Amino acid sequence: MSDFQVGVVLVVFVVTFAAISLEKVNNAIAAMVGAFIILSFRVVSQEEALHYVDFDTIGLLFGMMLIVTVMRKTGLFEYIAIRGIKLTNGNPWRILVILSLITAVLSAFLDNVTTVLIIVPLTYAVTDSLNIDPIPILISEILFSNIGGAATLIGDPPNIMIGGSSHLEFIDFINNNLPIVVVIGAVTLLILRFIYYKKMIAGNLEPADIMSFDEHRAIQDKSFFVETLTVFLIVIAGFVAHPLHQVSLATIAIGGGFVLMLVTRQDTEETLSRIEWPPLFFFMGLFVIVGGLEKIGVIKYLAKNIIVLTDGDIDLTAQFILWLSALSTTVINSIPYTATLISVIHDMVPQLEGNTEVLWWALSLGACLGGNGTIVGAAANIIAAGFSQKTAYPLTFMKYLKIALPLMLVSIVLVSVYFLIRY
Amino acid sequence: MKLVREYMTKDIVAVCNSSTVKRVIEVMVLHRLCAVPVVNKIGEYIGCISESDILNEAMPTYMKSIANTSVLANIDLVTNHLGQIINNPASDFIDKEYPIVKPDDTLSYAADLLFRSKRTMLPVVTGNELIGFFSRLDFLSIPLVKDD
Repeated sequence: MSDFQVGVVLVVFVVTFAAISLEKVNNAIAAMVGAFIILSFRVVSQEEALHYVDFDTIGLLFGMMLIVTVMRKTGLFEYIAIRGIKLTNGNPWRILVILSLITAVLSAFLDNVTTVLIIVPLTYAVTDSLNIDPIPILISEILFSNIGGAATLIGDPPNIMIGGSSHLEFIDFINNNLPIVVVIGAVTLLILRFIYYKKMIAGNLEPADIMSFDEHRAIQDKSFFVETLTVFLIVIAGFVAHPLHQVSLATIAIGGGFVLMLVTRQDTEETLSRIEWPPLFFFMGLFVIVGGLEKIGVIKYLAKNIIVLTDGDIDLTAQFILWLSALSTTVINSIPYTATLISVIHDMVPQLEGNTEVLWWALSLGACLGGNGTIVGAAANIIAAGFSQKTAYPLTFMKYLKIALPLMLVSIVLVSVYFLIRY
Repeated sequence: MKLVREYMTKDIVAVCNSSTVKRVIEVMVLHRLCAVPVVNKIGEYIGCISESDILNEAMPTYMKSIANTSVLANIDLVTNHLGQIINNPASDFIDKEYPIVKPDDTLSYAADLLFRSKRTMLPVVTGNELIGFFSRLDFLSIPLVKDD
């Protein structure tokens, strides 16, 4: 490895990281061009590059996208949202609670961006018909999309990456992350109640309008709905049962997606064109760039220094990774961050004595929840805020920050305490 | 070769860019037009406003992002929103890229443009001056005239 090659990797890494975080260039283009440069200068060979790309992660993302693309057509999500809204009787605070909880549950099983794309426009429809301010509900939904996403292996890209590259099971994520996710959700709602309750229920309520929402129109084709839901539930069962059959999650998701297309007779061209290809290429490129960092020794260096800093104490290392992840992903994109830290943790694990599993939970919870800190902290936030700009109620950077940053810090303190008690 | 100038409708119907949405719709109703040319204070042509431009503006943004809007069918969201924008200035959504033809363009060119742009009428403009419009029916009725 020549000094020149080391320089190439560092420049590529810093430039792509900056380009992605400042949103100057599209993620996918930045990462793929970066990877191309690293390969061109032979920092990593062709074979090594393929080895660095974690196809489990990419396959799982692709498979879930395929399944969700078909599922969206069933009207299930609209049905759930409208059913929930009707339970509230038009009380704005209850609408906030119900929509936040639905967002959390949906984003535990779908990716956060999809969840937000489904829930946020419906939220605006509801608040518009009731003539109330959607901003508190919008902020809460963003928070809960990231909180809910932390609960499962497929809920949030950092978790998919961690699941893909470690030996943690689907059920492990639920066992370890779900309890604290529930606590964080409850505390977040409690704090939001203090902030918003009085403000929200002050307006005029028109419960009659809420009842005009007709959830029964959402599901137009019953058999299509049943087939899709069945395949989805089988896929989830397949994830849970992974220890028994050892078929990779990526295979289950991709297989499930294509079986679903077969069973429900989807148009191949149309369905595949709805897949979001840019994030898949973004991940691929990123894995190669992080591979380059590994090759030039940066990962080893980081791992060594974290261990020196924490004196090899696993609890302390976990706390360090948790806070580092939360604070970093508040400002930088959580995906390249997670890709880097996964390599760092892999390097640290053999050097530490004891059960190192907690390090993965620290990375997962830190990276997922950290995204809540600012409006640019996670993809779902950016999408939701972007959407709101086109409406009469735009969500601004500061409006979001004032509420969300303190709540994010509270959630990380809760995780900190949870680690101390549990591990 | 047949030219637009021979077959166009020479009535000049237009609204001023300071008009409201309401005024634009009134002109459309009165003259049975799907699109109305817009001129500035000194009468120069600046663009068109079509029915679809107004309908697009009348749709709340969130409606456009909901995949399955059937659940909202029983609520007057779009109707109410149209009511809210009716007094907005028309200048907000003048389509400056609306296709136009010149009087010396051929009928084939104009017919092709009507077909491709999926518009029902094209303003006929020379320089900045609006001199009439050429509609689908202006084109389609050409053989009828010949038969007489």
